[in-house]
This record gives sequence, C-alpha cells and structure tokens, in this order.
Amino acid sequence: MSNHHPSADRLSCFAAGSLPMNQALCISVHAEHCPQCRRELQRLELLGAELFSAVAVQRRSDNLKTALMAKLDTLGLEADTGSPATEPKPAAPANVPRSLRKLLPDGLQGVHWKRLSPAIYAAKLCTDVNGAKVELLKIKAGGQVASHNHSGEEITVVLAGSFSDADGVYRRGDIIFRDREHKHHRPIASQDADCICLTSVAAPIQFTGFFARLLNPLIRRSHYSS
Amino acid sequence: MKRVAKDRDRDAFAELFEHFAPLIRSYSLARDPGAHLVADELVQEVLIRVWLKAHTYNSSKANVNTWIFTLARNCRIDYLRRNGRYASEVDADDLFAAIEADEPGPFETTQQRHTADRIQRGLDQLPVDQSNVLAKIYLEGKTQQEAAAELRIPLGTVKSRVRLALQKLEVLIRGEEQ
Repeated sequence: MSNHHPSADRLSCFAAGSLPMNQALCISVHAEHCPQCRRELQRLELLGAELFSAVAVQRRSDNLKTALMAKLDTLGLEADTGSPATEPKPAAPANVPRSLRKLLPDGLQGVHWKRLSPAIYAAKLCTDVNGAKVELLKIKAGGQVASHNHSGEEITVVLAGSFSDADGVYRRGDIIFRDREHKHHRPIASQDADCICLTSVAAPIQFTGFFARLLNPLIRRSHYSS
Repeated sequence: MKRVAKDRDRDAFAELFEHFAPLIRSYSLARDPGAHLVADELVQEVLIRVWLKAHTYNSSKANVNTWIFTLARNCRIDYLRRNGRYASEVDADDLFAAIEADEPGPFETTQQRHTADRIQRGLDQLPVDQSNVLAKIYLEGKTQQEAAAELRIPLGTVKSRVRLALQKLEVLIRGEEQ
C-alpha cells in the first residue's frame, strides 16, 4: 500500500469532479493502487450525493419528460442487445492504469520515448486547457534527474520501479506533490530497475514584458531537459 | 430502481424522472446559471444512462442518490470536455472506474448508510462559510482557485474550510494528517 496520498481537500475536489483533468488523472492512477484513498473517495461521493439531493429545485414544464419517455422506445432495443457482458473488451495492456489506457493503447512497452539526457526519457501524453502538461517520464536505473526548482506545481505518480529524493523513497502508486516551496528537487531512480512515472506540470509562469516574451520559447522546452 | 432494471418498468422510470430531473437540472444550473438548454440536455443524458445502465446498478455498492450523482458528475465532466474546458481523450468513466470496481461487503454497506445519514444531519449544522465552499466545489464545479477568487478568500482558507467541514461531517477515515 502506498504511503504518500493526496490531501483530503484535493480528494474531495476529485470526487466532486471539479479537479482540473491533469490533476484528476494523477489522482485516479494513485487511487487505483490505493484501497485507502478509494474508500475515502467513496465517502466523499456520499457527501456529494447528499449535497446533490439537498439542492434547491424549481418546478418546470413536463415537455422534457414527454420527449424523454418517447425516446426510450428507440433506446430500449440498444439496451437489450448491448449487454455489458458481450461488449468486446479491448485487450488491456498489462501495467497500464485504467485511466491511461486510451492515452497508451500499446501499453508502456509501446511508448515512443524521447531522449532528454542519457538517463532520462519522456513521452508527452496530453496538455490540459489550463496549460498543464501530462507526460510519462522514464529514469534509467540509477539515473538522476538534474536538480530543478518548480515554477508551477508538479505532480508525480510512480507507475513502475521506484525513485528517491531528499524526502524519501517512492514506490508504485505513490503520489508526490511539489511546488515552489520545494527547492532543489533531485530525484534518483533505484539501482535495480528503470523508474516510470506519470507527471503533470502546471504551466510555467509566462513572462509578459516585450523583451521577456522572447524568452518564453526557451522555457517552454521540457521541464526536465536542462 | 429495481423495477426499471428488471422489467423496464416505465412507470417506475417516470417516478425516477419526477424525483431526479429537477435535481439534475439544478445541479447543472448551479454551474451555468441561466443555461436552461444545457441543463435539459444534462437531464436527458443522465436519465438515458439510468435507463440503459439500470441493470448494472448495484444497491449494495451505492444508494440511488449516490449512483445518480456520480452519473450526473461524469456526464457534466464529459460535456465540459467536449466543449473545450478539458483537453483530453479521457472519459470521466475512466477516471472513476477504479473507485467503482470495489465490491463492498455487508459491513461496508451498512456503514455507508450510517455515513450518509450522519452527513445529512451534519450538513444542516455546518457553518455557512464551510457549506458555501462545499457548494462551490461539489455543485458549481469550481476549482479551489476559482472558489477562492469568487469568495475573495485565500486559497489556503478554501482548503482549510473544506478540511474542517470534512472533519465535522466525519467523512474521513484516516483523519487529517496533511
């Protein structure tokens, strides 16, 4: 079981469905490995349901009901033929958390890694509309990520292997949050295996002055490459 | 609910509609005030899912309220994603699949009912500043940053109010260590 969990307020945002997608992906991957957080999330959904059922309502016309009841006829057929047991299940790639399967159809083996340094490889998964970048990161066994600070929040979930930094050792399913207050973050993969992580990095602060704008392309390069 | 699942009973479904359609509509309007068309669309989408997925509903796992809340939440996320708020290939159902996969034992089912009752009673007694923050996040679908900006309070205060509310409602199992 994991020893590193998201805070309760962040879990509640996830259960509420109000967490930005980049963060939600990370929490979801962690929850898949963490029975304790799954239980908390179920309780946070209960809270959501109570808030939902207590919401103030106003009566409206019944047109919608008539329309919907009429629609059921066309749907009824689909429901009968498409029972979940007969749906073809795409072969689930081993080791890939459910929420990443659409982004990684060929599993972790099929990832097209881009080499950032001899020890570090990255593969972009998606960019959220808030500018946050979600990437896979592979640190070769024993490899070290260059010391870096964080301009925005960085979330890391370990998918395979393990790594450590000054604060501890992180294993599969562990989730780590780092922001500006954490200086000189310097992760090292364990010696015995490559470490693969899911990372989400909030958009870097944009320089907005005329000359400073010219710098933006430089800092837009991968967070880990320097 | 059972009658809908087993016999495709339309009267039973109409009862579900009567109860839940106004709730779903208000849930949608909480996020997008005035967007009645969007709200009606969400009502339709959620209730069609209820009709189609009724046979997958498991009463030992969640009460009907919770099941329909999670459907409404997921439909809303997918709606926002289609309309560009979230740029991702990932469906809401994928995000929450792991939580749903757990099979609770009879003990958990009973415990869940107690928890729901306690939350219901506790919500009435919550200080307004705490219940406001919960409403922003759960009903209006605001991020913590958005909630902070709208309530004109620091982000840290939003977080601490959420945690205080969760403690008062005894939602957390492990207590709060962070």
